[in-house]
Amino acid sequence: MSSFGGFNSAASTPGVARKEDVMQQVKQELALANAQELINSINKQCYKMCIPSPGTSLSSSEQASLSRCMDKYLASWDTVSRAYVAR
Amino acid sequence: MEAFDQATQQELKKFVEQETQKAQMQQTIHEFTGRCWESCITQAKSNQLDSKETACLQNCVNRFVDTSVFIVKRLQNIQQ
Repeated sequence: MSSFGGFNSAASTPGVARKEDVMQQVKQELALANAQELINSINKQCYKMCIPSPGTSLSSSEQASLSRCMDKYLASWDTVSRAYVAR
Repeated sequence: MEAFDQATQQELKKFVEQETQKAQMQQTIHEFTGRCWESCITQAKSNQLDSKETACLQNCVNRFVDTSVFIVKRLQNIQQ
């Protein structure tokens, strides 16, 4: 029984392996939350920018706009991150 | 399941605090990015930021932080 997603600890020092499992678990969950936040933001902003009137499917120009928008959003995140950290 | 020993518990506690701080910082950056995107980026004609957009994003972050500092200082003055 493991509440940590089935990590198998075959280490000879089980105490050490479990501590690292916990740390790994925490990091993974926080990374996942961060990724989900990013996806939600991109979805919201890029839908707004690229799909002014929703049709019955995504046209190729809408898809191209979404790709450009995504790239731009990631670049913006990076720029904002650097500016904030520099303060 | 055996409990972790005292030393390990302390180490894990410190680790979780550090990771939480990092996560809070990232959350702040998400908020800033959303806000500053709305102020600065009006279209997706290219997949790159031009120099105006970059400058706008940087200004946005700095002015928002300045605003925060300004408000706190003024509140402190009012209270004195």
